[in-house]
Amino acid sequence: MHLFDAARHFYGGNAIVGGGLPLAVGLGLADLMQGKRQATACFFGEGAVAEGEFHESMNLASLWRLPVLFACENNLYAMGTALARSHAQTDLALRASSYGMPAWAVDGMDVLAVEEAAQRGLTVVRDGGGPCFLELRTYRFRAHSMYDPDRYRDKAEIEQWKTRDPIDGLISRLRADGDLTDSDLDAMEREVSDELTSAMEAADAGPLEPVEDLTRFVYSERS
Amino acid sequence: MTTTETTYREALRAAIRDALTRDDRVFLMGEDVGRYGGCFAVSLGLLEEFGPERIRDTPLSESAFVGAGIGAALGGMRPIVEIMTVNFSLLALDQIVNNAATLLHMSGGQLNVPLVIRMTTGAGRQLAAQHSHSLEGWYAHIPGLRIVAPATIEDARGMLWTALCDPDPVIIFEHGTLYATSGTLDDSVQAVDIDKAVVRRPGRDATLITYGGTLRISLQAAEELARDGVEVEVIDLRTLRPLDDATLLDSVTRTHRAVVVDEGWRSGSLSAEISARITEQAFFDLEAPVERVCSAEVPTPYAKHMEEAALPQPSDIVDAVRRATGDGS
Repeated sequence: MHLFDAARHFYGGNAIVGGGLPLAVGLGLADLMQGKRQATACFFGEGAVAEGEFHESMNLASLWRLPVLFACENNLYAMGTALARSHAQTDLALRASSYGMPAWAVDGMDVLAVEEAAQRGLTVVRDGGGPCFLELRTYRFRAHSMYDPDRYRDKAEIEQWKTRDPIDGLISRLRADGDLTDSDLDAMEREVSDELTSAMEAADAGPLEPVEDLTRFVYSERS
Repeated sequence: MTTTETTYREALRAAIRDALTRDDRVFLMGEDVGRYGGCFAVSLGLLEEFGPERIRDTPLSESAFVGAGIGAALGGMRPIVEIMTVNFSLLALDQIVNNAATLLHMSGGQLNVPLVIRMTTGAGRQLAAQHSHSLEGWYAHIPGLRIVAPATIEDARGMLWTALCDPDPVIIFEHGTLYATSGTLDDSVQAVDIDKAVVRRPGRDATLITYGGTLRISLQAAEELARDGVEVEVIDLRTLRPLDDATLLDSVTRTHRAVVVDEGWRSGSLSAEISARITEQAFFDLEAPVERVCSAEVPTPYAKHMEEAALPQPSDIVDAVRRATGDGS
């Protein structure tokens, strides 16, 4: 959950729903104050829209016209709580637009539509147009976690959404356009599979973190 | 040595002005820090001097602007975030505890958070139950944070720059009754250490351990006891996390008696932690049980006489020292 990569400007996963939004606002503020033409992309689920931190962050980002792209992956369930059972207004882009920023919904199962929308949003953000909000309408095929018995939704609903799998959809489109052959696809799938296998093998074979390191990185190490 | 007559409030302002002048990455943000001049007038005039980019008024959104301070620190800035009072900081606890204190650890040392948060703490101004908390002990519970409490004008002037140079988050607690206090400041003071407790008054008969807003009344109590020949050593903790055990133990092993004065509530408090450390590390040097003087465990009352009854008073401290020295009635 807490993956970070400072070298790639990846500021991590946040276990507190909505907790990453204020950080994105601050990163955007730092870019703005330093005159950097950069954008911060902030990903979160629709569950975060119920948090106060979402509304505080949207307001502050828009008030200060900060270069932040808010990308809301609306998969209809916050763990097991359905959107319609927890939000009085389920049009999330509408709610975001009330903060005075461009906001729109896009078919999150359509890879090319998402790419196009992201480019459009990032252009606004990078060109000093302030923040943007994208609602990516999507679905989670699997349970929320390995402890989730998935009792809160119908199997038929899951199967229905699976017919719109974004990877399958993209493959069909590329094939129809003649941009992807079966052997290209096989090679790609093998490559991804090999990469995952070798990553898992490396992790399994790697040494455990020494217990002596338990108290490292509570505070910065001073030389 | 040149000196200036100043106040705690002006010393804080001088520290902020100095930091803004020395480092372009520094900016101040919080509720009413700009146009209003700060709820306690600490930042009065700074908006005119440094402009709205660096003296940023925020909406009443504690979680967002504290989190934005964390994000800006990650992005290369050196923010000073002012939270009007500790009571409002409860609305930003998620950002302080779950992000500021943990990002370095969660990222395996990749992302440190050089953020300074300033806030007002404490009672004594008839502001009643929601504006009078002393919750610095809560924050001192959290690994990853450094907690400091300037009790003197010199520390008000000097702690900020040291805090800004710290690679990790530092929270500065300013007791509300101190802003108007005045005194003489050595003009050469620009930065002070934030590692060590200091002895504010030497003594041999008992050690009074305190910080922040209760230093003044502890010194008053020591003065009163001295008139009866009881010489109390008064220690100002200055830094509440990490605690400077060495200075405390050095004193207690000489005086053999300890009294902790803490405006926080007694249960699960900073005073409890200090008492435990003394008992753990200097038990056989003690001639008496560790005494504590804390606030009554009630929401802080509004009425003046009731508030006074709830808060530590010099007479409570005198009584506690007399109990510890076996001189009590």
